[in-house]
Amino acid sequence: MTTATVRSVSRPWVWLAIALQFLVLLGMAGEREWIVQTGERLWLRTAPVDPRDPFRGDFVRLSYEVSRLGPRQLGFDPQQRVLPEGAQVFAALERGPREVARLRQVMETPPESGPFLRGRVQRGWYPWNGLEVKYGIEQLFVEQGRGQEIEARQGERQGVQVPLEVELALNGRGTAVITGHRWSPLGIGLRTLRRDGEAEQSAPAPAPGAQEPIPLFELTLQNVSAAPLALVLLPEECSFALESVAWSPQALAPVRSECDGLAPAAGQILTLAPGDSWQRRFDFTESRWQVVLDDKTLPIDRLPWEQRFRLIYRPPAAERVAQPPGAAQVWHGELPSRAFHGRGQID
Amino acid sequence: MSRRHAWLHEELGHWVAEGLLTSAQGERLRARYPLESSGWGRLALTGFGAVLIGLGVVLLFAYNWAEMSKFAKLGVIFGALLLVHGSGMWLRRTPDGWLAGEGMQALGTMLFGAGIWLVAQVYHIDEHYPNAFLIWGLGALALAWALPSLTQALLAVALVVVWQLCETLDFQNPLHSAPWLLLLGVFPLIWRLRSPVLAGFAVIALLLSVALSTLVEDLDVALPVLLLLGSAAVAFGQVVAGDSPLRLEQVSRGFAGPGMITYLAVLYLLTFPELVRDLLRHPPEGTLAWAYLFGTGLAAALAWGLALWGHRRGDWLERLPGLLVVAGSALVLLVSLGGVGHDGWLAAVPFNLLFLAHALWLLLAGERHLLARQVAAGGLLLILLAGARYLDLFDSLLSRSLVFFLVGGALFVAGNLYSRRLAARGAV
Repeated sequence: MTTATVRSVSRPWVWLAIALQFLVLLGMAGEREWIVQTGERLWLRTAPVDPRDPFRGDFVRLSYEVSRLGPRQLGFDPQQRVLPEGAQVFAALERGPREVARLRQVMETPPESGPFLRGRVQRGWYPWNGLEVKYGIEQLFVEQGRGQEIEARQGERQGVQVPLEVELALNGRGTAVITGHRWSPLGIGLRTLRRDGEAEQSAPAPAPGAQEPIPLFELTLQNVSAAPLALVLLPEECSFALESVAWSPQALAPVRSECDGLAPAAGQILTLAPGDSWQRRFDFTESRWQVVLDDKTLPIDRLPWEQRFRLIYRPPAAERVAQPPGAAQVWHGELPSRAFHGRGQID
Repeated sequence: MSRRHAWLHEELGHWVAEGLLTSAQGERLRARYPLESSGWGRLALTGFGAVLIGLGVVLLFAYNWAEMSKFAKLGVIFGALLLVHGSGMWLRRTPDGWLAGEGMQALGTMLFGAGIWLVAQVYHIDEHYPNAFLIWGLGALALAWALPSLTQALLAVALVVVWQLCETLDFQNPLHSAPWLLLLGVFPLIWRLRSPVLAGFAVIALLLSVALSTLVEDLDVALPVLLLLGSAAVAFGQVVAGDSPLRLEQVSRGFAGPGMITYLAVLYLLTFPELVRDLLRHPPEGTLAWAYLFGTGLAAALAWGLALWGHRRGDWLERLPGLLVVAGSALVLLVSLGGVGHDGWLAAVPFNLLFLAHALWLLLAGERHLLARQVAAGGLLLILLAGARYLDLFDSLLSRSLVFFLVGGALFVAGNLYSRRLAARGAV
């Protein structure tokens, strides 16, 4: 066998086959490196969990705010136009505070302007008539052992959670490459409390048939960075917005005209030293948080279960926070809480 | 063959020492039956070594050192790939270096796979991961054809199977292209390499691939399709065993062995009336299910046509297993296309009789040619059949004891006949 095989080796074909192996690797690496060198940069906020890949070691599985889409975020009617698994879609983005991108809309064709991500439909998302989309940037590979570190730093559901923000390089066709990551300097936590101030978890269950009391929601903001950081705390809780999550059937939000154009006065900027936190209890039965649904003004605890909300810390724009003392340390990003229902269920 | 030669060489030493043979005669016999080192054994060791080193490299890079820049990581993998493939080509220049060259290039293909995962790691690429196994397998297949190389071909077969397993288990994708990739990409290599090992691997991979595709596509046709494909493999093994123009006689067993085992395994399952009723109650639904059934049925029909034509003048006992397999294939095709309705026994009875006939043939033919393995296989089939029917057919203890008497008696008679024939041959 050996002699015959040696004789039958056709060198040009062998070199061609070897060259093919090189070209595949070069093609993979070259395309991505080109995007890294020349692509447009922006950041996306994520919620990580930590698995391990037997071939590539530790990685952090990333789920973006643009990964699970509600029908309102789609540029088409998902009931009329059912996209099969693997169908290509384009997520048009816009730059928000601190260059963190927000989703404008997901459509079947690339947007005419602005940055966008190209993704593929993973599956329909029932019962919300939404879509789950994968963009090829859902894994962040880290050195072995660091995956659990990242998970620990992200925090637990019951406590303060710190969002991981991923830096992307984008080419003109919507292909994205992860080029870095950073932690939000501000962590956020949300829990429910009984009206007497006891944590809901420690409260006894209501008697069968009894109406469950509407709880209070306690929001915690914590400076998890190594430098002092300032919060803007406008009166009437105007630094906070209540917004429906993307997959809720209707986009509902309280009308807060009292907050329009509000700028912080002296004493409305709170500086947090590293590790310090600030807490506020929100009562969503108050009229300022009521929303309009089918021409009726309702508190959010009276809405159907699928109407979920996020409480978002959203300080005024930087140009309106220029004067008061401590303004230089103000963090100008926006930070959403976990999704919840007005009756107290936190996702 | 070399095991027998090794035994002979050992015995020759004793015979010369005892004076049964002169040293000159001993030397002449040694020269006539030389001890040939097995190329396959060395190749297997080298290949496994290369695969293990390659896996070590994959896992080494999986650590993902933060201190190592991405260009350093890419440089290492590209440099290693170039060095290993280059060394492989250099070693292949001489017949003595061929084996080392084969091992080096197997390592090169493992590094190619490591490179795919490494590039994905460096750039955090999260694409459809089974594609990596496909690309890796195609890289191995290209080299298997260009060299040609058995190690690369085996790697390609393994990677295509892993690709399909990932697609099927993780994504419920039937992946109808995988059996075609094996048929068109790997099977012609069997002819080129004349390798029974590759034939066996490729046939097993094809059977597994078709099983996975049909299981996802339509569970009901999976068993008939597997039986027909196994039957086709048996027939093709018989075709190439003779003076076929393909000159593949040495790979005949690679086709027939896995084919026969699959055929008998499926036939055994079809002896269970509940299973037949559940799976074959209705004709298949869906174009692809029909296509699989017709495709494998046609392949079996063509292969058996050629096989039976080639053996038309053989002894009836030699031709019987082929005829039984043809009968089994025709029956399964008929039952699958028509559907058995609610009466599972209607189809299960002929399957039981066919299975019994196979068992008895193995006992008879094994006894006739003094093939102990064949006799044992026949006995095993008989016990399996009796065990299955013992559980679902006979309620009374009297009937059950009768089953044991009959099967035990048949095995006793077969064993006795075999011993007598063996003794008779020894006396001659």
